Amino acid sequence: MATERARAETLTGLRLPHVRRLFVPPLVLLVVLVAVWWVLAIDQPVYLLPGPLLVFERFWGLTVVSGDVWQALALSMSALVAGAVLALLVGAPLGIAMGANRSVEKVFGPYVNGLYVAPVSALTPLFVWFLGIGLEPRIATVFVFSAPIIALTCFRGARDTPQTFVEVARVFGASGTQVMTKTIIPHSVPYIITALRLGLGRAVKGTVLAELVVSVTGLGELLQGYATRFDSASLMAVLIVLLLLGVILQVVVARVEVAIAPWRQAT
Amino acid sequence: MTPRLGSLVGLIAIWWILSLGASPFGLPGPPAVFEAFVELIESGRLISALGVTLSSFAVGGLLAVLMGVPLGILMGFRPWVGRAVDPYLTALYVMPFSAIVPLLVLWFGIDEQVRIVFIFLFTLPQVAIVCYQGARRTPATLVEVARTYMASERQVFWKVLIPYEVPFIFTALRLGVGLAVQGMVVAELLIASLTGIGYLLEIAGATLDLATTLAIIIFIMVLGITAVAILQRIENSVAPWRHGVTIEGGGNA
Repeated sequence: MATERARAETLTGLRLPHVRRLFVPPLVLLVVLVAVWWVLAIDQPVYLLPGPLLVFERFWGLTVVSGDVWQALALSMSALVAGAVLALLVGAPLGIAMGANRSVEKVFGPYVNGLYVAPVSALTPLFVWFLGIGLEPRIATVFVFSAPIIALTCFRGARDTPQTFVEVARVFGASGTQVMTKTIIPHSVPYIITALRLGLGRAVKGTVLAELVVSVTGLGELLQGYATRFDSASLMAVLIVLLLLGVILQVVVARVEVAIAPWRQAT
Repeated sequence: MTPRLGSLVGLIAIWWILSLGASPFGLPGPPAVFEAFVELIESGRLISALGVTLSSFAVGGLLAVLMGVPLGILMGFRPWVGRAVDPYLTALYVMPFSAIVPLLVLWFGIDEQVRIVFIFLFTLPQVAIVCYQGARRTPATLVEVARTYMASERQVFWKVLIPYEVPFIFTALRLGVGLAVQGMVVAELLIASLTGIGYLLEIAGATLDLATTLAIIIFIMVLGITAVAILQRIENSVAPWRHGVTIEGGGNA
């Protein structure tokens, strides 16, 4: 018995009491919530509040039986990936430059900060105006959603480079470029991964917003289609897909983060 | 201050130059946009639309704070509540929330009600998460000292946890207001109604009046930035020792 348990613990890497403490309360809450949902749904028409079983059926249908969701997801991902890559290519160098050089920070800092807190979704009508309703405005939306947080996180990474490192490098005759490539950038690497995680989180949101406001494609198209047909069950199934997409992206990049820089506690 | 001012002047100059060669349907210059803004103010359209939009913002945001702050504190004070609720709050926080709008429209129609509900749901997870982090980070030594001196549970709550929590509540307020503005804009964009800023934007777009569109967009963005900046000031004066310490935040749509 004891050895069985020890084996299970080494296999999962988790101690059983720990597992119990961590996973039982959320599971209990989940059961309660689904039960409440079930009871509430009994008296309601299907188009208003479908029961959990029906939603799961639709979820199964969308993901496994028909696989419609994968096609939509692929369409969504094209804008998401393009926008996020662009945001990383622009945001990371800008952030590091801002962190390494105070005058760069003074010129760009206010705008990056401003874009970070501003309701950037207000810009989507502009993108439609100038870029039409194809892929480009969606990429632009994803870009403005994710670039500010990427730049700000990389800025922190470069700015927090311990001054002693920079001074030691200087004492040993490092040039400006060498200080940059040998101390500041290596110090920023884990921050860049964090920036990627935060940026991706916002990129997903930008993608979906763009698909609802700018051009109706991908998962946004599925959502709109089901809404106009009052098919709440399928609508909820797509919502579950989006929820999973957001969570999975975060978990995957967080894993990479821990693997690259285990000394930094994931935030 | 000077480089900041310089970059602003430079930005407006670039915009101006770009607008010079543009067609009437292209980019309008700064004077045209300013004129459109003055016109919006003078006709009273912006103010009345703003009244509608801001009222749902205020109600939704206030509800989110009134429920999110106690929820976060409770999660920190009773760890099993925290462990039970936290995964779902995080999932809600990570989820692209604009996707829920079609469902909300089915449930609540397209009136003020749906916008309030959306802004509330949009803002709640972030507020609760920040308050939870604050309550959870209360140093164990403080709690233990209080217990050693025979403090009751109620005293631990009011004399240790809550005072430690106050600055986090202000952080939650700042992030919450920022998010509520974002939620407000998303709601205006996604929910077709006949009042509010969204409607103004729609009319300007339909009449190909880019100057007015730009004026409204710049106005909304500046409004959001100003609101957050004011709350940041308040936060810094309430808890100056936390100056510069930020909790990862800002969700967007």
